[in-house]
Amino acid sequence: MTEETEEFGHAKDASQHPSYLLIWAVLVSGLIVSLFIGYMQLPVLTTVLIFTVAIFKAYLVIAYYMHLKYEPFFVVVIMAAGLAALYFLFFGLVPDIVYSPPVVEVVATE
Amino acid sequence: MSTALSSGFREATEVPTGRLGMWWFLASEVVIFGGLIVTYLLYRWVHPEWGLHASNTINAAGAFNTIVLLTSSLTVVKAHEAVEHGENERAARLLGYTLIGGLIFLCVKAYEYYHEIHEGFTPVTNLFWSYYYGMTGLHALHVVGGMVAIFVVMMALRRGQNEHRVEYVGIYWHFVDVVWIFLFPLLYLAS
Repeated sequence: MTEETEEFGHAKDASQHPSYLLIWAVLVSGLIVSLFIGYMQLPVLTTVLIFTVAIFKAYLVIAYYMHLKYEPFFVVVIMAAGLAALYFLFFGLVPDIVYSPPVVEVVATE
Repeated sequence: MSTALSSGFREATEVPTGRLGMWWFLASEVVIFGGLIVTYLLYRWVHPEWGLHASNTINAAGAFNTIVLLTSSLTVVKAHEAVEHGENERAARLLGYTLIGGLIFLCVKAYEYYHEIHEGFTPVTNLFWSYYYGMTGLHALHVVGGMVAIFVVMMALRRGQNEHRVEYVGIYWHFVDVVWIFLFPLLYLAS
């Protein structure tokens, strides 16, 4: 581990990351796969598959570009706290939005 | 206990304070953008016709912008790598490429807005388009803010100052990229 690396406070594993260019290639490939899935136009399955690919791409960026994979666990907990709030937001709103009576949408004219 | 190190940054934990502060900030950003995305998903669940509205977005522009942001994420992380190897000039050049990527993204976004408004799809057309302009507009503002921060860090880097901030702006820029990774499929592809 070099002095310069220690100076920036990285965990010891951060210098052994995969090739950034390789990760970029995988991300672009994921984009192409998403485009292909998007043209399949299967109502529910398309959305699920596209979101799955997006989550995988986000993981690659967060883990290897943002180096969250090499951060101490409490940093992961900090980010997970935000996601936990979204979890409660989603399931807290489901009864109101999904099971409430339909609302007539007002469309702007002119 | 905080420690002033030779590189000019402090740490009270095993993580440099600046980087930890950036993670805290991004955790709040997760709630902001995530809240918009979660409510959009819920409304999309009960409004399947939003798929028709989404078909009026320009997929090619969105896909191109995705590649632009992914590439700018690559250049900013390579800038961080260059700083770690003491190659400040190369790092500053890579930050410049990142700024160019951000500028291209904004130009394409402006063209999309122009085209969609010209077609009659404005923020008040319906709730889908309110979400579209709201989420992409907020994202674009974050791109602008990130570009300002990267520019300031780049200029300091040219003077050999605050090299450690390259990583911090890089983390922010990657987050902007992650948000777009979710916005693109939700607003463009799922149509």
